[in-house]
Amino acid sequence: MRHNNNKCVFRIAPMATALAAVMAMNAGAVEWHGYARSGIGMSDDGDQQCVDVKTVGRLGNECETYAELGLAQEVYNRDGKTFKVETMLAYKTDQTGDYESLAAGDDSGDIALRQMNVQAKGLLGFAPEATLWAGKRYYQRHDIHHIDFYYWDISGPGAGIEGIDAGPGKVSIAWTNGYSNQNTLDLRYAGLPVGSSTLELGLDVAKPELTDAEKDAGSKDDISALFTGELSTPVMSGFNKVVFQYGHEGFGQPMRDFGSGNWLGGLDQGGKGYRLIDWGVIKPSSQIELGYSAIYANFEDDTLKDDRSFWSVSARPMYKWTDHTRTILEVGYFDADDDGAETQLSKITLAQAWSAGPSYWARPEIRIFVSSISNDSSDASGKDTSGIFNGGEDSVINFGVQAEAWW
Amino acid sequence: MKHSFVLALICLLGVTGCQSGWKKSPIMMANASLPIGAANKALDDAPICCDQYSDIAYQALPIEETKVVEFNSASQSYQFDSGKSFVTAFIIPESNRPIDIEISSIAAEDRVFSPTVTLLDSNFQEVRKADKEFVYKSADLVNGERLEATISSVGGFKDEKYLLIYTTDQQRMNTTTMIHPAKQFALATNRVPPEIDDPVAQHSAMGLISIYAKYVGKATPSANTTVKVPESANISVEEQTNELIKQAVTDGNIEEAMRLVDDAEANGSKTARTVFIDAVKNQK
Repeated sequence: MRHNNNKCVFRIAPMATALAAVMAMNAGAVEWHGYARSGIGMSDDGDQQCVDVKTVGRLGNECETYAELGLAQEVYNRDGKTFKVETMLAYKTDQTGDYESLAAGDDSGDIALRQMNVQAKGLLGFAPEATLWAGKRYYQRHDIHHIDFYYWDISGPGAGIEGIDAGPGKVSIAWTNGYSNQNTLDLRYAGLPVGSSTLELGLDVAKPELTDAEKDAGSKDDISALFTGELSTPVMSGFNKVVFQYGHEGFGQPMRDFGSGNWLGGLDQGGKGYRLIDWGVIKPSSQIELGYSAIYANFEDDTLKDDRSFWSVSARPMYKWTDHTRTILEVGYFDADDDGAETQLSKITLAQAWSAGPSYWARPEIRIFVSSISNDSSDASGKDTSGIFNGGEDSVINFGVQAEAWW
Repeated sequence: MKHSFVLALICLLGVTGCQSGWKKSPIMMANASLPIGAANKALDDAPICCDQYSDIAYQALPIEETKVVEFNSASQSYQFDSGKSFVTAFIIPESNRPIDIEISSIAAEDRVFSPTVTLLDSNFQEVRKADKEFVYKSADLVNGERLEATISSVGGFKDEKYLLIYTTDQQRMNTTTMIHPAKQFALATNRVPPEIDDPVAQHSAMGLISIYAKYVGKATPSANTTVKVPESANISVEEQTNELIKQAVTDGNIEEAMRLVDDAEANGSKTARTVFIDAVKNQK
C-alpha cells in the first residue's frame, strides 16, 4: 500500500497563513536584551582584589556586579518603513554585601541610562536600506571581549544615518557626544572585501564646543582626529582582526590609556598616539576554542620628556569536556613605560565553567576560578611602587565563583 | 601564598574530575550522530522495515511533555516516494480537541536533520504534509540551534490519526546556513558583528528531534476533559460529540447543547449545527 493518492496530499493553506501571522507578530514583539555579571570572591588577604581588566584580562579579575537591561520594540511597520524604540539601563554595585543602594551619592552602587533612541528604516528616499537614528545609543561598538576593551566606541547621545549602500560596502555617518562637550563627527566605510578579508575604515573628528565664558578663560577647542582601520579575516571557524588606529591632538592620549574615541586628552600640546591590535576568537578543534589579543600602544606630546607606551598579550583558551562543561585558562601580561614610570602586570587564571552550550560565546556561564595577579612597578625616579595590593603586597591570589549572562 | 594557589588548583581539578558522570545533553547526542557520509551509508545499509504505512511501528504521541527522538541506524527505515529515510511514527491521541505539535530538529555543529512531517488519516492515507515550514532558529536562552515548525490544529474533528517524521532525498541534498555564535553575541549586545562566514549545516540522514504537543481549541463537553473513545467503538469523535448534542436536546438542556455546538464548530466540526437543528425539530 504505497500512497500515491495525490488528491489527499496538500499543503494546508491555513498553516502557512498562521506561520506568516506569527512572524508578523514577532516583528512587533518586545525584544529583551541584556548582559549581567555577578559573583562572590575572596583573596589570600581579605576581599577579592582586582586590577584593570583591560591590562591582563577579566576572568577571575572582576570584583563588581554589573548588568545592562534593555528593551526594544519595533513600534511601526508599514510599506517597508519601520520604527524601533530602544532603551537600556545599566546597573553597577561593588558586590560587597546584600543591600547595595543604587542611589546617587552612595558609593556602593550606580545606575545609568545608556540607551534611549529611535531607529527608523526605509524612510530616506535616496537610501531606503539605511537607518536614520537619533538619541542615546550603543553605536557600532568594537571591543575585545576577554579584556573588556572597547577600542572604538563613540556611544552617547547622537544622531546619524547608518548603512548607506556605497559600492561593495556601506557608509555610516554620525554625530555623537561621548563626554563633556566633545562633539564628534564619525564617518565609517565598512564591508570592503580584500581577498577573503573585510576592511573597515573610519574617521572621527572631534571639537569641544566652548561657552563664551570658557573661551574667555582660555580653554582650548582645537580639532582632534582619529583614524581607524580594521581588517577582519575568517580563521579556523572564527576570526582574526588587525586594527590600526592613529590619534591626533586630543585623540593621542586615549591611544595609550585604553580610550575608545569618546573622550579627549589635553589639546594644543602636540598630542599624537597610535596603537596596533591583533585579536580574535578561533576554534582550532571542536574541543578547543580560544580568544586572544596582542596590543602595542604609544602616545607622546609636548608635556612628556619621552613618551608613554605599553604592550600586552593575553589569551583565553578553553577545553570543552562536554557541551556544558569546560576548563578555561586565561593568561595576560602587560608592560608599560610611561615617561620613565614602569609597570609590569601579569595574571594567570584557571576556571572550571558550566555553560549553556558549547560555543566560546555561549552564556549564561558559571565559573569557579582561582586567579593569581602579580605587579612589578616603579615610578619615574626608580622608586619601587609594586605594592598595590592589601598590606603592600605585590601579588594576590583570588578565589571565587562568578556568573555571566547575555541574551 | 604559593601553597594556597596550589590548594585552590587542587579544588578546581577536583571539580573537573567529575565530568565523566554527566548525563548526555540533546546537543551532545546530535553531535555524536555520524558524519554525513557515514550516516548516508548507514541509511543505505539499513533494512526496510515494511512496505506499507500500516506496518510501521507507531508509538503514542505524549501530550504536554517533551519527547526526544533520535534518528539513527537503530531507527525504522522506510522507502518513501521521496526516497529512503529513517522514520519515526506516532499515533495522534483520540480527542475532540485538536493539538498543536511543535517539532524541533536540533543541529549539531555542522549537520542537522531536515524533517518532513506527513499526517495520515485512519486509513493510512496522506492528508497533510509539512517540510518547507521548518525554519532555522538561532540559539536563545532556552534552546540551541535548530530547525523548527509547529504543525497546527492536528486531529480533533479532522481525520488525522498518524504522524510520520522523516526526511527526503531532496532535503538531504540541501544545507542550512546558521548564524555564527560570535555574530549572535554581537547582535544581542549592540556590538559590530565580525565579517565572517556563517557555519553551514549539511542535512543528514540522522539527527535528533524534540516534539512537544499540546491541546488547542475548546474543551467539550466540559472544560479540561476530552471525549474518550472506546477502542472498540467504531465511531468518530465528531459523531460522538453529535450524540452528546442530541442527548442534551433530548434532556431539554438547550443551553448545554448550544455550547457543545459552538465548541465543536470552534474545533472544526461541520455537522454539529445541522445535528442540533435536526434534534430540536424532532423534539417538536
